Amino acid sequence: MRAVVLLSAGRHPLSARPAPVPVEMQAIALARGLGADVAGLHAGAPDLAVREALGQGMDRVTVLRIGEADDAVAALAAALAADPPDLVLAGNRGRGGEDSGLLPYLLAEALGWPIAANAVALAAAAEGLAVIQARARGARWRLVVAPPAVVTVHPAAPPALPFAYARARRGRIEEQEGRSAPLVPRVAEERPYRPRPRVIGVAGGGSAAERLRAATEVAGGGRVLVDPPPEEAARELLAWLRALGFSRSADE
Amino acid sequence: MRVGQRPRMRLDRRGVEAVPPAAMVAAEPAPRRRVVAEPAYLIFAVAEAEGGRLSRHERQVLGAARRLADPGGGAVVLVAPSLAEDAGAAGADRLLSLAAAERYDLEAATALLAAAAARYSPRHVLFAENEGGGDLARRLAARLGAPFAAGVEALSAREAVCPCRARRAELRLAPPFLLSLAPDRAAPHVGPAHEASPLDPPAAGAVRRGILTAAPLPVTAAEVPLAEAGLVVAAGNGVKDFAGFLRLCSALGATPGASRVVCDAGAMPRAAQVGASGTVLDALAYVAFGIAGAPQHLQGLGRVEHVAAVNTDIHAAMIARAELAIVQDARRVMPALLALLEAGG
Amino acid sequence: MIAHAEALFQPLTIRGLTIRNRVMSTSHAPGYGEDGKPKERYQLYHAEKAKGGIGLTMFGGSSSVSLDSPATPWNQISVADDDIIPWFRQFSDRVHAHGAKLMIQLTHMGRRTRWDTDNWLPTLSASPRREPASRSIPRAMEAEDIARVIADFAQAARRAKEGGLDGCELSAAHGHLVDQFWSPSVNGREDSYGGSLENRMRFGFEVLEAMRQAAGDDFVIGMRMSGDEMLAEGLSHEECVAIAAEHARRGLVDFLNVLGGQARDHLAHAVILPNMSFPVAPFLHLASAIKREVEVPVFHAQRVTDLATAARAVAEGHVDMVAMTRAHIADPHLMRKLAEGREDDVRQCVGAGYCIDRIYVGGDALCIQNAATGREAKMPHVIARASRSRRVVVVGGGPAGLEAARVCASRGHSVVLFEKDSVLGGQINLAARATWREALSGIPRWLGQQVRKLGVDLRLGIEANGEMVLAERPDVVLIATGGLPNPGLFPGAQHAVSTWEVLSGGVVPSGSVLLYDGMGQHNGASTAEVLARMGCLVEMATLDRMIAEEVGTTNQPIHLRELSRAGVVFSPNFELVEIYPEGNRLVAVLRHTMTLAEEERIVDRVVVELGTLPVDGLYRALKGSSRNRGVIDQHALVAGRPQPEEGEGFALYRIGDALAGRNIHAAIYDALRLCKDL
Repeated sequence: MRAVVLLSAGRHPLSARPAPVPVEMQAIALARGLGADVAGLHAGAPDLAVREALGQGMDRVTVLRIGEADDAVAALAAALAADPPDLVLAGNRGRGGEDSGLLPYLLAEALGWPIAANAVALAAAAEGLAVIQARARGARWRLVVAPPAVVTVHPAAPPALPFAYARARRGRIEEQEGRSAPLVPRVAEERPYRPRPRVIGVAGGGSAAERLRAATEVAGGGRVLVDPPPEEAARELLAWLRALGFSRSADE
Repeated sequence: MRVGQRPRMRLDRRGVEAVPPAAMVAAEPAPRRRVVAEPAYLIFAVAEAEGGRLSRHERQVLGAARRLADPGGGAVVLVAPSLAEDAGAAGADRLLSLAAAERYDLEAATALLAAAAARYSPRHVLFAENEGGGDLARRLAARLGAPFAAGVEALSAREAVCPCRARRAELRLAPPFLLSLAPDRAAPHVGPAHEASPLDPPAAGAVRRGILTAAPLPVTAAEVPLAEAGLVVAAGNGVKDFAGFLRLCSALGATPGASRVVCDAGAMPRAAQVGASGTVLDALAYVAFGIAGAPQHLQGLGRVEHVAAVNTDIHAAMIARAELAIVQDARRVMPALLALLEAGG
Repeated sequence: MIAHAEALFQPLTIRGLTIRNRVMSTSHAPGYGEDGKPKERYQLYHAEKAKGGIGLTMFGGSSSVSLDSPATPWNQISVADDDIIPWFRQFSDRVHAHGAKLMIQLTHMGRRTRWDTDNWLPTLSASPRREPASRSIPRAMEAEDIARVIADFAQAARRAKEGGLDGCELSAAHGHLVDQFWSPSVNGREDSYGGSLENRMRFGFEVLEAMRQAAGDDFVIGMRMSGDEMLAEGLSHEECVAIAAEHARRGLVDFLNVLGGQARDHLAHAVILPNMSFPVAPFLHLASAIKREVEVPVFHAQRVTDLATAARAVAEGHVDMVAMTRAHIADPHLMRKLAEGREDDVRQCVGAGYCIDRIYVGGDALCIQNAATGREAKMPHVIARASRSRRVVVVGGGPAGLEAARVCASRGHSVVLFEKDSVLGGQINLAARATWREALSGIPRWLGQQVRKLGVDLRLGIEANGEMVLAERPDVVLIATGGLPNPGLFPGAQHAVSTWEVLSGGVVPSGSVLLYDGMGQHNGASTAEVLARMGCLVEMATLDRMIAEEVGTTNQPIHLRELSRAGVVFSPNFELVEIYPEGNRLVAVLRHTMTLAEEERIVDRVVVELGTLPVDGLYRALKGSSRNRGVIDQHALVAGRPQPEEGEGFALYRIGDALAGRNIHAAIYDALRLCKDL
C-alpha cells in the first residue's frame, strides 16, 4: 500500500517559526502503522517545517514548487492524479496558513475520491480501508472507504513517532515544478489575532425582567443547598443534569 | 383586659392556606410564538441534533443564525436529520428535516443538503465547528465550490472573523455562503420561541459513493478519554466506596474522574486525575463528590461551564465554584442518586 | 496560590499609562468629601489601597462638573472650579508614592440629584421626567445648557489632568446625565439630541470630544456604562453593545467600565450594587459581551469578592481590569497579600452592603468587618506591636471578642479567650442561619482563623466566671459577652418567643404567626422569611412606617422582594401592646401608631424582635476589683489615645453588645479602637 501524507508549512503558535503541524506528524505514524510505503507531499515553497517531517517517520518528501498566488489544490491534484497512491492523509486543520481544514475536501472533490475525516485509527478491511473517526464528545464511528481515498487525521490519534535526527538527515526532499493555477483571491482583511472571550451566560434576549432574573437569581449563579436530605440532593442533581441534556434515560 | 371602649377588630388568618413560594409566582402568560411569515431571505442552521435534541453548540449556531436573520427580516431554518423538539425555543422559524435513508451516510447527507440549498437558496448556511458539523460543512463547500469561513469566532450580519496562521492572525470578511461557528462564540437565542414550522424536504440528489459503510462504535462513557468527555463525575477524599462510585458513573453515562489525592492513594487510575497536573477537561458538565477543590484541581476544570459539587464543607472552594452546590455528605448522596436512577428517576 | 493568579499580575498599558496589575477599585462616593474636596481622610483611604498593592484606584464617584449637579448630597467632589487642582495634586502624589495609578470619575448627574442643597438650582435632563430614586423633576436642557455642560466637562477634564491624575472616566451609568440622554426612558427630545440612537448618543460624543480637546492626547479618558439596563423601557443589552462599539470605534474612549443594571428605583439599587444574596460576579457576562465587540480595554466591577473569581475573569479574557471595590474596603492589602502568597490572610468581603447602605443615608462608608477602613488617620490596618507584653483575657467569642483577641495578639500580648459556646462567632452564627444571609459567617471565620494563627489560647465550651478570669492573672480583661434577646415589657410578653429561638431551631412554629419587629433591622425580616419558608402564615407588624425600615438601600429591597414572594403580610404602623392566651391560641393586641386604634390577631405564635440586652453578670462581678471600675475614658478612646493607666490590678472594659446592643461594625470598632493602644 502506498500512502501520501500532505505536509503544510506549519508555524509555531507562539514563536511563529516554522514547525511541523502535529496532526500531520500523527498522520505519518498512522500510515506507518498500516505498513504503508509513506511519502510526503507539499505544494508551495520549500519550507523548514516540511523538512522536519523527515525526522518523524518519512523518508521522502516531494515539494511541488508553486507561486504564492497559485492554487495548491490544483497542483496537488495534478500530481496525485498522475501517480495515484492508495491513500492520501492530511491533518484535519493546518497551523500556519489559512487553517480552514478545507484543502483535503477540495482535493478529494478534484480527484473524485471519497474523503473520511478525523481519523484516530486506520486498519485494512476486506472491502477497503477501515477508518475509526472521532466524533463530538468522545464518540467514535467506523467507516469503510474504497481506496483511493483522502483521510484527515484528528488530534486524538496516537502520538507522532519520536524525532530521529539520523533519519531526518537521510531523508530526501525532491523538488518539482507544480502545476500552476491561479487561486481566486479572497476578499478578506487579515489582522493580528485578537482573543475574544467565550460566551458566558446569556446577555441579551427576553424581557428586562427575564434578563434580570437570569443574571441574578437562577441556578448557574451558585445555588447552595445546605444539608438537604440525601434524596432531595439526588433529585436536585438529577434535575440539573437533565436540564443540561444528560441522563435523560439510560436507554434513549 | 380591654383598653378601648369599642370592641377591637379581630383577624384570624387560620384557614387561609399558606401558599408555597413556588405557587406565588404569577402564572406566565401563554407563550406566544414569533412568526416570520414572509421572510426576506433564509438562513440555514445545520445541526446533527443527536437524540432529537440540540446540543449547546448547536443552540449557539441557531443563535448566530438569528443574528444574521433578524436585521434584514430573514428567517432561520433549522436543518437536522430529525426534528428537534426544542427547535422553536432555540430560535428556528422553519424546520427542514433531512434524513438520509441510512442514518450515518455522510455522502447522502451532503447530497441532501446540496439539494436543499439549491431548492431554498439560503443566504448563508451555518454549521457547528465540531467533528460532525465541521465535516459536513467542508463536504458541502467542496461539493458546491462555495466560499467557506471555518471556525468563526465572531459573527454579525456585516462581518465574520476567523482565526488563521496558527491563531496569530485573523481574517475579517463579509459572511460567506458557508460558515462554521466555533463553540461558545455566539449566544444562543433567548426570549420568545419562534414558529418552527416544517418546510418540504427537497428531492434527494445523486449520491457519489466512496464510503462503503458507516456506523457508530459502541463507546462506554468510562472509556471516553477524560479530555473529550461530555459529562465527568469525579470522586475526591470524601468518597470511600469506589465500586459504588463507578456504578453511579455508569448509570449516569458519565466518565469517571478523580482528585489527585484519590489517584495518589491508588483508588482510581492516574488517567482519571482531573487537574493541572492531570487532565484539563472540556466537558459540558462536571459533578464533584467529596472534592474540596485545591487550586490545581480547579484549574483542571478548564472550560467546564456547569459544575455541581457535593461536599460537607460549605466553605470548600469546590462549593464556591459550583453552580449547584450541595452541602451534604457525598457518601449519603451517591447511593441516593444511584437508587433514584435505578428506580427510573 | 489561586488558579490563574499570574493573570492578575500582568501590567496593562492604556494610552502610554502602565498600570502595574489588573486589579482596581472603581470610583465610588464614600462620603469622605469635605467642602467638595478630597481631603486627608479621603486621600488616606485610597493611599492605603495603593500601599496594599492595587494597580489602579479610582475615586470620586459622581464628581460633579457643574453647579447644577451639586456635590453635597453624597459628600462628593466638585470639579466645577480650579480650587480643586491643589487637592488633586496632593492626592495623586500620595497614591503615586505607593506605585498605584489614580483616576477620577466626572459626571453631571442630571435629574439624579437634589435641587434643594447648596446651590438651589433646578436639576437638568434631556426631558422633564421624574426619577423615582432622587424624586426630582428636571427641566429640559436648552441648547445653551448643553453647550455650558459640555464646556464644564472639558474644564473638569483639564483640572483632573493639571491635578496630576492619571486619567478620568465619564460616568454614563447609574442614570447620570449622559445616559439619561441615551435612555429612551428619559430622553423624549425631538431635536438632534433625541430620537434615533445616533441622536441620543450625540450629547455624550460632544462631551467626550470636548474633554479630549481640553485634556490633550496624553491623558486617559474612559467611560463607565451599563451593559444592559434591564429595565423594560430602558436600554437593552443590544443597544448597550452598540453604544460601546460606537464609542470605541470613534476613538472617544480609552477604556470602557461596564456594569449591569441601572439605579432609577429601589430594587435597581439593590441590583446594581449586588449584596450577598446575589451570585458572585452576576454581570460579568455583560462586560464579556462588550469585550468581544470592542478593541479598547474593558473594566468591570460588581460583586467580584474573591481573588479566584477575579483571576478567572482576567485569565479567560472577559475583562482587562477587574474591579474589587468592596473587596478593598474589606481589605485594602488584597494584592500585596496575594503577591506574598498570603491570600489566606485576605479579609474577604462578605457582601453585607454596610458600606454602601450608609452612604445612601448621608453617612460615611464603613466596612462591617474592617473598622480601620475610612479611619486610616487613627486606625491601623496593620497592628503595631506593643512595647511591653501583657496578659489579656477576653470573655466572649463573638465579633467584638474575636477582634479584641486578634488585635491584642497582634500587639504581642498573651491572650486567653473564653467562649461558652463550642464554636466562635456569637450572634453572627444565628444571623447567618437566615436564608440569604449565610455569607455573614465569613466574618467570624476569618477572625477565628487569624486568632488561631496568632496563637490565642481558645477555651471553647467554657462559660468563664470571675475566678477563672482572675486565675489567668490578667493585666486586662475584656468583657465581650454579647447580649440576649430583649423580651419586651408589654403585658403578656412571656407568651412570645424571640427571633433567636426561631433561627436557632429551638422553636419550630407552625400555623399562623405574628412576627412583631420593634427594631426594623435585618433580624426581624430574616426571621419572617425563614418562618414563611417553613410554611407558616406570617404577618409582620412593625411600629415603623415600613418593613425593615432601618435596613439600607441595597439590602431592604431584597428583604421586601423575598418577603413579598413568600406571601408575608405587611402591617406597618402597628405597635404590639399586649399578648394574652385564648384557648390554645394567642391573641396579640396591636395599636395603630397613627390612629391609636387597637386591633387583635388570633395566632398560633407570636415572635418578637426587640434587640438585645447586655449580658453583663461577669462584668458586674469583676467591676469592683478592677483598677478602673470598668470605666472607659471616652475622650482617650475617641481621640485614639491609650486608656489612662492609674491604680493597681487589672483593667476591665466592656465591648460590643455586652456594653449595649448595636451591630457587628460597632462591636468590631469597639474592640479595635480600644485594643490597638493596649
